[in-house]
Amino acid sequence: MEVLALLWNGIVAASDPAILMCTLLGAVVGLLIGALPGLGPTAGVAIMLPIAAGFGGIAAIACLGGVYYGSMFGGAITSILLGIPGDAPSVMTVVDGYPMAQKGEAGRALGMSVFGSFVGGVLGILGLVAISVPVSQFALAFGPTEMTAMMCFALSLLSVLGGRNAIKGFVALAIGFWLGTVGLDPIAGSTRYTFGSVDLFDGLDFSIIAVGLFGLTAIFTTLEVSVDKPLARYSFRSLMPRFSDAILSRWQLAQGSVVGFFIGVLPGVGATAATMLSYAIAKRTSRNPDAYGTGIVQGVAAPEAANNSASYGSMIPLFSLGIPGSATTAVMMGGLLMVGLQPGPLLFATNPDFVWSVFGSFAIGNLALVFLTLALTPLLASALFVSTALLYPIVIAIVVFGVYAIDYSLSSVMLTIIAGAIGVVLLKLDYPAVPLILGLVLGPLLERNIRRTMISSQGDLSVFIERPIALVLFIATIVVLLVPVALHFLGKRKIAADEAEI
Amino acid sequence: MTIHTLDKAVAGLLILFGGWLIWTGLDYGIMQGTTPGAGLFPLIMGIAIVVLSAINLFRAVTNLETLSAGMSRREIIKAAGVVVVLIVSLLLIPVLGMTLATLGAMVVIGLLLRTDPSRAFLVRLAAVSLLTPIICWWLFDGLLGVPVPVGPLGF
Amino acid sequence: MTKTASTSFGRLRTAGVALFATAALAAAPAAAEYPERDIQMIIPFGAGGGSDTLARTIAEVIAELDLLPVNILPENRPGGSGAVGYSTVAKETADPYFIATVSVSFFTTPLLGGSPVSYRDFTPLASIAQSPYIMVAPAAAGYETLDDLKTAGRLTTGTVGVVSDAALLAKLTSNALGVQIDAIPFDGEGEVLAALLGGHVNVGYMNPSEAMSQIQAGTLRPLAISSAERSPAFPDVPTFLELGHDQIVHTQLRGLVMPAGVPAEVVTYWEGILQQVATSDAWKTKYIDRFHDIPDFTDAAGFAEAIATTNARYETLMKELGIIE
Repeated sequence: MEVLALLWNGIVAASDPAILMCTLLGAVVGLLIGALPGLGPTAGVAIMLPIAAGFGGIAAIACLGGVYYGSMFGGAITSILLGIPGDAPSVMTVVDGYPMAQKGEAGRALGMSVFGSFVGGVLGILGLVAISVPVSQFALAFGPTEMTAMMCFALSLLSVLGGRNAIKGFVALAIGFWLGTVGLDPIAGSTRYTFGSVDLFDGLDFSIIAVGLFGLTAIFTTLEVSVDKPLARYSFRSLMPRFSDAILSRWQLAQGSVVGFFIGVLPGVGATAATMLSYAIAKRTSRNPDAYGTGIVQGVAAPEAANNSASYGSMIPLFSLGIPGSATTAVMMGGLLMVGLQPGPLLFATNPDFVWSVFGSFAIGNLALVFLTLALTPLLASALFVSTALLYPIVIAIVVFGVYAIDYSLSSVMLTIIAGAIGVVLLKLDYPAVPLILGLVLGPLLERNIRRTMISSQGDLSVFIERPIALVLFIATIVVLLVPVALHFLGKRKIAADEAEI
Repeated sequence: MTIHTLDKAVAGLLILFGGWLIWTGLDYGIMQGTTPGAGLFPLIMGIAIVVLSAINLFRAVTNLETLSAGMSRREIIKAAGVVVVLIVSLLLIPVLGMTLATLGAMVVIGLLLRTDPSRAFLVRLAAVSLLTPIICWWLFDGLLGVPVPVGPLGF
Repeated sequence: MTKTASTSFGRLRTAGVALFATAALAAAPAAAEYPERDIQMIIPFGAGGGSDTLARTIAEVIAELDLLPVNILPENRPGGSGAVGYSTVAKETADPYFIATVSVSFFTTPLLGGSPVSYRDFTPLASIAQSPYIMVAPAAAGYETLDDLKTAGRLTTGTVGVVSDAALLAKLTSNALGVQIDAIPFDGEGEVLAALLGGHVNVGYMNPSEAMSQIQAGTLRPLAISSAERSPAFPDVPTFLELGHDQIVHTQLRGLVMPAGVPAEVVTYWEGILQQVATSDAWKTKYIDRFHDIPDFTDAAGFAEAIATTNARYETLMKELGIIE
């Protein structure tokens, strides 16, 4: 394997002490920024940019990359311990990670998130170095039409996340879609539901809603539960990661990595959608789908593998084509320009040493983060020993600062508090929060791509079936929607047979 | 108000909300030439919310929907208290600065959560309430370059 | 680390000094030599974008050439598509210690109803470069020259936002060639480039720095450039003007503004500084050569006129698109 030799050379080059220091600095800053509620990889890379630019060359980009994947590791921490998504791509980690922590398995959940991040990282890096050229061509094949079909397919898979009462799940989804329309409509150029407020002009930031709806709601509903005793009864064992979990969740890890990688490559889709899709696939293919959401390691494995491998996937268009496909890679492209490199199709050819050294630094940083986070796991998990009467004020203070830092606006903090309060009502009435968040993430993608397609085709709907990729995805959508119905008529044999197994 | 009354009330409110979405959707414009306009998506969402919430209302009225226990009065008061404290401290941020306002909010919330504080608890609460905002200010303003709102004392 | 730290301390210092300055102003109206304290450079966008790089490079070059007796402190104030940052500057009426760069959002956000302040709330100082747009088509599409496009029945192009320079140029080209060109709004430059390379749109209007690497790699073919004269970075690309389309001249001016009501002496002072920047070698190597813009100095009056023209063009476009009455 020639690429492995090249990668090895890159790793050797990136082991240079100066580069190593910058990689580790980036990784640690990323870990911290990922763990802080609100701030995510884009903000982290942007914050580090002026500092990293001073390092120059390989070290600068190694540092920025470290922030990017470091934040993917860090996002899981607050998601698991407190139910507050540390950043947007870790929101699905809340769904099973937080119940695990409440059951007294915080260390196990954190450990699983580290394994997931590591496996996703390794497979992502391998994909990045080995198949970036064909994969970038695959990404280019996705225009608005294919993207619309992809979103329909994703939604058909995601319908499994509706919760107990499917009707209320769809109401929550519709509300999420509506929240996604707030702000300037980028297709028609008019503003929707901003009520004249400048703060809403850019739309609702996903993290502002997610931190309220998951994090503050989790706090508001457990105020009375555990003032005088720790959140859960812990043994020393509960603080430690379990390596056997990685074996147990091998399929979810592999699946999450692959899904995350390919979704991450698509310009404009992003890691958050990738985690949702991989979680949904894990649940759909499970023999015991009802266990998902109750706190199982597989539910942590899939999204955590997906968000890490998505971060490498999203670097493919940047490094091989010069296309920044996401907000984070756009900032990284700014970094490339600042160190005097011209990102574009010729980058690999003109600066191979640079590119391979940067990739090598990714491998080193990924490994370093595993040791760092595994070592921190017992310490972090023991945070839950603190009485909630002390823990919650601290967490609330960090949320206020963190949400404010998203767009320097106090209105955002207000929105988070309101979302938290509404979240309590929704939770108590069995309106699930996950579909609402899905709608907020995928709604704008679906709406904009449908409208782009229609502008392109001048209103002709037949384009959706004339293009092969779109057609295949639409057929897949119909299959996914019809399979449960077909199974129903076949007498539910499958479900009955599997009930005993977890 | 029981949890079931709340369920009915929310379903009813959602029907009204959906109706409002339909109305605004029509106002924004369903089509723009040959392409869907700004109002099409809100219109579809409005219709979906009205229809589905009507079903939910029907289920709630006919007692088809079973809900787990709601919150106790004490829980509701505490949660509402925390929300009110947060909103008040948020309104005070432009006056006091974020560090001081958060400090105040932390103390009040801590006392709200533990209504019979021991001396040891008070000491700890005072310590974390002092340290957390200062560390946050240093972290966000100093290291991350976020322009955190400052009060008259300059922090 | 030092950079961000100095920014925050700088802000504190200026806040303190502002208090003193107000007090001093009441006592003694006599103005001392301008500038007597550090200047806040507000960047209304996040780090790493084009506007951020431009602003920071200007500050860097001024520092390097030692043109000012005080420091320029760049500070990012993102949010509301530029509205937050530009409002911060505009509300410091007549304060010559706030400065910002113009951008596309400087015009479009107020026009789309997203900002309480518009270009009228600012004093233009000068511009120090112009950024043309290069009309490109994917190499695979087979269009060699601008006239080849006339053979197409209808074309599509990508734009970031409904109202943008790309949308404006698409309208102009469409009128000039007599070919329908529909602009499809995407969510970022990257998405537009991906759509172009994937063949999902037919033509694009790219910034020089984005276009350069693709043209060099042979994936995109340049058809025309939107400046009045050929760009030194693209000597082989003809202007629309040369090709006989004299109504298509539109570039983005890279310039600086202050809040409205700044004294005329301050404007003259900055004209001097910016002229030195525009003609310096540091500016050439740090900005022009890197981003392939056209070196150009336009004084305050010329810049003010260009701002008004640009705004009028966007307004006309919005009326044609039916966004405003």
